[in-house]
Amino acid sequence: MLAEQADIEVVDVLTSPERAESEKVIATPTVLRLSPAPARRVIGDLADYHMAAAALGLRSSDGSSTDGHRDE
Amino acid sequence: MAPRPTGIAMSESLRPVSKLETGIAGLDQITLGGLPEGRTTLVAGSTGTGKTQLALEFLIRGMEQYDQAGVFVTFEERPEDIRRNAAAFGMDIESWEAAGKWAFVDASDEGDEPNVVVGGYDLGGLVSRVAYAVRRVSAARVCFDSLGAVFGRFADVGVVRFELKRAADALREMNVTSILTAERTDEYGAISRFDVEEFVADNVVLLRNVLEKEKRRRTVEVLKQRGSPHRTGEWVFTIDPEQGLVVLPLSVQVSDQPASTERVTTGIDELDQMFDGGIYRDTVALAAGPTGTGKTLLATHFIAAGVDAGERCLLFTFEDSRDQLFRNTNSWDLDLEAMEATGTLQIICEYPELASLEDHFLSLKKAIDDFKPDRLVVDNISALERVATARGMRDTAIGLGAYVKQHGVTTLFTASSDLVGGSSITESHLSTLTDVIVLLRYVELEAEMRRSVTVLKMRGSSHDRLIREYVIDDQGMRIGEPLAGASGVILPSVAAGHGAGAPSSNG
Repeated sequence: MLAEQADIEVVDVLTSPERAESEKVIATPTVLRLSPAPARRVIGDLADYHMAAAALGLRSSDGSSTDGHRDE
Repeated sequence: MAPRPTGIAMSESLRPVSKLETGIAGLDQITLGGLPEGRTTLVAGSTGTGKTQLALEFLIRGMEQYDQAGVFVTFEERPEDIRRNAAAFGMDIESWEAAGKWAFVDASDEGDEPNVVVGGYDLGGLVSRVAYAVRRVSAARVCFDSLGAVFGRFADVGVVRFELKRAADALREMNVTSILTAERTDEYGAISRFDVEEFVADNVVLLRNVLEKEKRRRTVEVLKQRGSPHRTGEWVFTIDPEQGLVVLPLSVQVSDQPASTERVTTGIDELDQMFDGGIYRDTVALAAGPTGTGKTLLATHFIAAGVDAGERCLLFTFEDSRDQLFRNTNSWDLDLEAMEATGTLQIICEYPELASLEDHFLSLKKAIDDFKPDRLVVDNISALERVATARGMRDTAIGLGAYVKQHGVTTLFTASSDLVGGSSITESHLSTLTDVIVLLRYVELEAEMRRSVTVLKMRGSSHDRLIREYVIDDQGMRIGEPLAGASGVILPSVAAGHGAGAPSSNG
């Protein structure tokens, strides 16, 4: 679902520590939204879908922003 | 003869742990050889105690003195600030980075984006970055500065503790020796705010910055080192602009050099006779007396005799400016200025209030190291009491005495005493470490104020026990006959440590 909207790169910090270094990642997992600007950074396993979506500024499938509170 | 913290602690596990010399002056002495190799040492202290300085120097000394690469993991200051701090000490971290021997792991921030936490996490990114940096430069040393900043950033204390342990274990696997700095809220309370010590570090070093009688004292204490002996108690340290962090006293070892049997002159023939032929070359002597009894004069004779014999002489004065000193000594027909011009005498005039006791000690030590004197005078060591606590004074006196002894320097300290008594802090502390004590006194005799000299103590030799009169004139100090009829005048000894006056003296 998300794959249709975004380019996602998964980096394993254990095998690519230099990427963790260059992006200054300390906690894992960390999601970096690099584009569109402004960049965002969310730490954690994103267990709460809504909070995660809000934090990353994702749009839901109906096109509305998840910045507000909305039921599934 | 070891100074105050004399105990050597040995913890329960007797499995020997090899130690890594830090290279930090004095620290390797009190840890009895350095930090446990391949382990993590927690360095805890309140704000401004010098934790970051210690961590930074641990890496810098490793590079400089042992060619061991280092990784600095910073949670607080930015790498550019740390490079700049080190540059102030003349250390070029950038060149080491370029040479692949130094790496920063910059955990001071995580980019400019706001940081949001959703769900569970660990610090795997940090652990893998540290391991990567260690491998990249083949580091032998790592420091983390500081824990407080990590805990401040990540609310889940349990996670942070667990991850720090993971990092410490990973470093241990790689046989890397590390320092972890942590904040304390008060100087004598819990080891750190976050209760990390028991699972991260078997080894704890405490730094303190204590206000005592309006004087700041920095101290370092090795609280524990698992499986290895270390010295106990608090040791004074200072942060010197040139030498960096220095723990005092620098030497706690008593010299095991054989005692000298060679005698040298004090510069006053009659005094030499009182010593049964001069003092031993490795003597540490103390001349004590009230103002105006001629302590500086005695010291000047002592220096002049050294210069005459072709010895290198160092005169350290807290009493006079250079001009005052030359004027006074010229009036005794002793030309210090001409002696200094020959290059065998160096005169250093310092004003006690301009520096702390520790800093004075360091500059004295540095002067001894640089000039390598055969003879040393410190005139007048009591002046340091104005900038010192009693405890600091004692540490310094003992440290200084041990240091000159180790280097076989014939040394004369002068010290003030009350007009008739003799129990100033310095004297009572110095008297235990000096080999020779000369007392200069005022004596009231037949309605006249006269001066007397006594040799109170001379280790390893017989000496004159008479109380002799001396006069000061344009030839300097001249010692004469025993004072007749002066019994009951001379006073309780300095060594006895109390300073009651004599009944017939001016009190």
